[in-house]
Amino acid sequence: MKEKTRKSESAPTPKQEDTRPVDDPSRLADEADATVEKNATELRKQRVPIATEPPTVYRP
Amino acid sequence: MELAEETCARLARVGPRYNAVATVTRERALAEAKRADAALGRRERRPLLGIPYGAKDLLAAKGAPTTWGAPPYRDQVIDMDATAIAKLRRAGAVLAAKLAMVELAGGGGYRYPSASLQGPGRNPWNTERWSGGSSSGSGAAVAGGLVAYALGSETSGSIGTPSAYCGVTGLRPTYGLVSRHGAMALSWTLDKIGPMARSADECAVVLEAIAGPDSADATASGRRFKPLDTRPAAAAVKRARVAFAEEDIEDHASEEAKRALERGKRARVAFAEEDIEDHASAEAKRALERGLAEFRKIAPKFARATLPALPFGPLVSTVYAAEGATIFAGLIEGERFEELVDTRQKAGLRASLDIRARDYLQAMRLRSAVSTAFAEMFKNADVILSVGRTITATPITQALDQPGLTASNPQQTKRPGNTGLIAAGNLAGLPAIFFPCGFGTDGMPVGLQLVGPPFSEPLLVALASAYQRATDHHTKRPME
Repeated sequence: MKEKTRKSESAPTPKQEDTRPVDDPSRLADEADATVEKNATELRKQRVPIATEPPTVYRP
Repeated sequence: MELAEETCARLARVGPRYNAVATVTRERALAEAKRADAALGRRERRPLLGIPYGAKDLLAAKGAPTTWGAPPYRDQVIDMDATAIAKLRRAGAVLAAKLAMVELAGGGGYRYPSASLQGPGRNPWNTERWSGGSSSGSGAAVAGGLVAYALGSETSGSIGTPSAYCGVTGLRPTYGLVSRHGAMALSWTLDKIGPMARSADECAVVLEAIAGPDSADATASGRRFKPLDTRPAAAAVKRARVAFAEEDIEDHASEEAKRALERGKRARVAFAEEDIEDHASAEAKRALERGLAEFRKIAPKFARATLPALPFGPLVSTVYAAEGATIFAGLIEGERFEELVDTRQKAGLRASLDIRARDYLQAMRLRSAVSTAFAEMFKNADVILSVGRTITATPITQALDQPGLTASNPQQTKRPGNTGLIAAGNLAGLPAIFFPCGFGTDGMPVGLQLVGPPFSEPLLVALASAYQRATDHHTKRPME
């Protein structure tokens, strides 16, 4: 399987205007990668106190 | 037999107008109708006996293709009935069609309504508007009178959005109430199958038939559903404590939707006039805005309550994207992936393969926090009332990722209220009922939703049913 380069977890670089058409596949790919990173950043902001965290991760 | 014949003919004739139909299952429908006729001849009386319906094309059904709305699966035949379909067969129902859907239930995050093997779902109220997704055909087929009811599915909004956009009633069951055996999996921990129909009472009849244990689905709760009888239902409606956040409408509804939603609040007030007792909880002590005061006069018991500030959008999309990309990894890395319609969907699925374990697990542990937050809300309220969608159905050519269209990511400058309820309710596996409450200034349907604790479907149905007995929004039909 093709190995993908791990994306940097450091702070994002300053935004530059994307001149590619909005439906350009390469632009969409970059945006999708950015969405994954943005979501991850949001989730990591949430702190869970591990001393009192319930013993299960999730049970539907 | 005549009803089945006529339904299949109508599905074939009118279905393409809405891009609502994947397959008309005429042969099967006539065979099931013949059995139903025989049962009726024996004076059997069951509520679904002989009634034709449609099922979202992510449910396997013997004798018909199951395309999951996606070109790579256009020729897929799964030679079995999904449990929900098997249960309806045993109830005497007649499967008349597999209904169109967004490809792979939209797990990659599609940009356009056209992201479907059948083309963009067209709304029977205006065919230049979208019918919503991902249960696009289910919403359109019920609204357009092609079938009496349909099965849809929801991972996060896929029953609610088409119900709101098409002006039908949709019921998202508690996670695990309805078996998912034979259904396409997008997210093992989020997917639910539920009915869409004209009314809450009709949804209840269907849910009673499809709910229950199933040895083929380890996540099935084993619980059954039975609607409340008339008297207990009336008492439950009077007793029910309703939570609502006025900013859901005031800050987030579009101008087209706002007027109808306001009317919906007043109409809801009208149905509850019998009981004005106010047991507002601590959360309700915050000043309620002017429109809410009117609602309080008629809601049985009213409390202000809002969801905590959690990133519901990133949470739910991280969960279904990670699970969906794992489920469809073979497709994503295979030769037929490019056949998918929507370029953004493809980009989203590819990117989702790289969601890290730590982020998926963080999302899963935070779901416990979401459930805890709901449990706190339900100490003071039996149900949460909110808007179905804050906007009316969008044009079929409009991109779905434009700012303001994503309810689970409200604009930061506005109070979030409970606009994240669809994502949050799905994360916590909670049931919801979506029901129409009028029309926007653009003539398109607008609806409300009620969310309750796990397995509170009897109360949700009782409340929506009471609302529908006092109003006539759900009886409106689009012109053909």
